[in-house]
Amino acid sequence: MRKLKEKKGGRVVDDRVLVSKSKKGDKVAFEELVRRYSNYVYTTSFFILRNTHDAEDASQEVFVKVYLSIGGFRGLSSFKTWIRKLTVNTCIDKLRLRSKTSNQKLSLDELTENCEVVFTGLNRNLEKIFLDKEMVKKVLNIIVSLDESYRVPLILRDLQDYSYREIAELTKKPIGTVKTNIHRARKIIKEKLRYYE
Amino acid sequence: MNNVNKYSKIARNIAKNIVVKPPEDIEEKIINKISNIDDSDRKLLDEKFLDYLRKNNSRLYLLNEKIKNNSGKLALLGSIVTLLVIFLIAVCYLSSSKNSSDNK
Repeated sequence: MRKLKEKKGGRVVDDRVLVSKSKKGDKVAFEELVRRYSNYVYTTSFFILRNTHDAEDASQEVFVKVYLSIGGFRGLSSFKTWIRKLTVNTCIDKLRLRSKTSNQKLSLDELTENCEVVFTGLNRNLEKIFLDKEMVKKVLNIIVSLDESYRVPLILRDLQDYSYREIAELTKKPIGTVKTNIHRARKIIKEKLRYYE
Repeated sequence: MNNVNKYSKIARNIAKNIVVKPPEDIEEKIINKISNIDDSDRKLLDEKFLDYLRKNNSRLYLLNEKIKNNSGKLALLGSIVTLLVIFLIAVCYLSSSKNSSDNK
């Protein structure tokens, strides 16, 4: 199989090159994009949907959408931004469908069992300040265990860098409610962390 | 409490770089899926998705979004520029009035 991951000099092939090749129908290039972004898409989906099966479904759906529409992607934003927005939109649609049928309640233990966390690209300074990775896992578990109305805006704001306005549009809630819910979510995290201390 | 605030903020920053390990065969499943696209998959490209694609292919829309998302920063920048212009005008005016009074 032809490898596109590295060029002769060991440099990683730019996303733009892979996208351009994929647009011309190069399946190997698209497969490399899948390898590069499947973890990212899955992680984002898992945080929003809180379920391994749903996150897997959402990841497949996102890549099918990307595959079918990549010819129409003009590249005005980066591929990562494009796929990130697509993932968030897909997951929020799935949440809307799901909330009509059931409201999932999960315990922290269940989540910890399902979720194996890998630290990537950790800033050395941050690592020095924040040696206890277990604390990060606790924060993540608290975030994932939050109610949907708190969890989704907080994830979009703090982990995905969406603006309050964008979150309000996506979740179809007034901007004031979004700000209040994010503030409350942060407060809940702090209270639960204080309990762990 | 200060520690908790610090932990919470740093943890949320670190969480941006965290990967939840997917099932090992997820890449293969995705690649298999895109190799066997059927009509039900094509239905995923509904009107809502096509609208999203159209918007993301429009420079005007993206610029508009950027402005809306950074309205606070833009307002601050505008205020600074305005103040700077007022300051420069005032300096010019004062130096020219000083020159004219010196000439007299």
